Amino acid sequence: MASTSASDSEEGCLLVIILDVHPCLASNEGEAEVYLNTVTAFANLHLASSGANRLAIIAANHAQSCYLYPDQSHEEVERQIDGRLELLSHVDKILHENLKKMMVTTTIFTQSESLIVGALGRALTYVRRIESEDGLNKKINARILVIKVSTDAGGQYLNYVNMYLTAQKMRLPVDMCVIGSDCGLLQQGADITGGLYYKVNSVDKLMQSLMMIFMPNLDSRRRLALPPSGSVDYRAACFCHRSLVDMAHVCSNCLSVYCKAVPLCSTCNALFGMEMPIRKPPKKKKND
Amino acid sequence: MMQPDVEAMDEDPKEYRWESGYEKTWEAIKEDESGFLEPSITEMIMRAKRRRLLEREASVRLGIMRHLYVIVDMSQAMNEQDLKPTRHLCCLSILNDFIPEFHEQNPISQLGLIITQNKTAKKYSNLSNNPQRHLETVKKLKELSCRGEPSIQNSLEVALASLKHLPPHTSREVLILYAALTTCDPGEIEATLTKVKEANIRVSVVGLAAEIRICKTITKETEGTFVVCLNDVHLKELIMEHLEPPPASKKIDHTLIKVGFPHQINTDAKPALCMCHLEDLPSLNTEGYYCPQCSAKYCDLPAECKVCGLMLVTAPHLARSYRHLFPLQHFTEILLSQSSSKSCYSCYKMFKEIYADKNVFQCPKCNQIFCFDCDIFLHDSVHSCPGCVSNPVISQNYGNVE
Repeated sequence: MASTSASDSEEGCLLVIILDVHPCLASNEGEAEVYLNTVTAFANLHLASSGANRLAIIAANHAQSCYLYPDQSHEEVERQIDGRLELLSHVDKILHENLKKMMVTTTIFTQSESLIVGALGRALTYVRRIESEDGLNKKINARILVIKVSTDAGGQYLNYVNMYLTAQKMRLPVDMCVIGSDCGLLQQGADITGGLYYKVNSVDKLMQSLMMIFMPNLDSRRRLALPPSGSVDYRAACFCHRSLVDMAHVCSNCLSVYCKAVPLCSTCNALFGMEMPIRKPPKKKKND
Repeated sequence: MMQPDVEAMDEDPKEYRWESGYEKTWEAIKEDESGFLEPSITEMIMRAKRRRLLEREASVRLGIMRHLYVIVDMSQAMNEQDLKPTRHLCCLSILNDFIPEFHEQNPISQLGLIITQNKTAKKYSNLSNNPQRHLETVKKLKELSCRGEPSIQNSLEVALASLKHLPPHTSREVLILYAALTTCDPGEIEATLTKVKEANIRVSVVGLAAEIRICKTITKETEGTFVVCLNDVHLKELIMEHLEPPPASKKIDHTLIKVGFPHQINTDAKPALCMCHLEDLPSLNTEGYYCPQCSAKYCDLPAECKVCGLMLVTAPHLARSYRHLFPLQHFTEILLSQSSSKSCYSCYKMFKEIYADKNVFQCPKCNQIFCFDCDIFLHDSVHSCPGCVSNPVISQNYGNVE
């Protein structure tokens, strides 16, 4: 165990935090403050725990996604304030400034969902870039942590799955921490990519779960008794009613999912032959 | 789909590669003003990478449900050492990569392996969607010695016998890895070819040695492709091209296929054996996926239920195939000086005044600027544009289309 921790501290770990800053946070002012302070503290903790650790934070709200840290328009060197590590106060300052910038530019919200998936895509390309810049001799041990507060509309399923499959291919675990209600979409993502999924009931408890569950790196996690992942719902929604189905009919041409047998595929306009397995009585078959 | 060096051959079917004019490949590399060769080479590499993406055209109907037989020549000719260590081992190690990738990219497709040697053909693994079984077969084949002559006719007959009984909505394909320059057939191969054509089977050949007329005829008649490899890297590229589903043949029928989405946990489940490993006597447990129709248990998906015949998949499996059908639009190449952006939208790389950053790429939908590496990465593996999905207007419309 000593050897792994030694090699980890040499290699460090790149953590990309995807932070949901949907305006619904602002409905309870104290909550927003606790939320952002928690995340900042967690970011500091990650950077302080090893000199080789690296960090990126991408925020997403209902209208855009945006890199909070690193910010390439800032120069890195700053003066020490109150005897704090320069890097940490620098992170705090940049986060604060960029969040403010992001809040000012966004307009009134109509969507209940944050554009997490956009931020996830940017995180993947960021990790890929760092990986290629570092060359082959160095392992960067990247992982992504998604912190989500907003509710989920499920309209972007395909994009989410695209991101998850890419992360799986890159062997990049995506951890999911949701606050409030369960999110099946993120649960699937954690399951596909080999990350952790955990639901936090309220913002007050966020700090504790971040530290206990999402702080340890992949090697240490194997030795921890983590909360069980539970079962993942892998059912698909049918294209006609958008309801989850146990059994469905799939178009052989475009794989559209229908909860009932239909004569014509609405996605690819394919006419279906009649020798398909039909449960309907033969009388009805003629009418079709 | 073709590599540049075989393109000429495809445009003019009469001309064989060795008959075509002498190419002066070195003349394409030019020095720039300061006498450097590197910019020219960088550009050539970038062009080649992008061309491969641009050639991948979608929107045509694809044969998503593929049934593919890989026919591997295991004749004496496979003992040649022009591919390292031998053609035989080189091919099998590529197949080792190809098989899992095939199942990952084509989740509801099936694969089978046929070997031809000693003038005969033998099926080594049946059509199935279990990559593990095929990989074990490949392992076994590594021990097998390469002997005698191959037979195209016999191997096509073996493939035909099992492919022709498949339902009409499937895409039937054969991929031949062929090293010999001859084929030893028991009868008239044209007769087999007619049958193959009638059964709507698409035959593609990857040659390891040289162009052979019979392979060319077969592939032309069945609308497949015929390519010959230059070296091991090229061979891998050529074989990997068959990961993408081919355009659907016009004769394919469309049907609705009944599928089940199994539950991962059954609340009142008793410990049970999983149906996929019955022979190995697995330990009893409650973990696994339960068929929604007959509650048989499976440890891995996708699978075809052995009890009720229902195809069992999960939503991500289906979504994996959607990317072939709803591909990401090509980005337009623009000069860095024309764009206002200082960094790549996606990976946040600052554009510098170096040659590699001269051109940047713009998504036609969301107008965000991407660097070259992101362009390739997004089109090659992600298949979603982070700019579009970060844009509430576009992403909402996009969601409605599907």
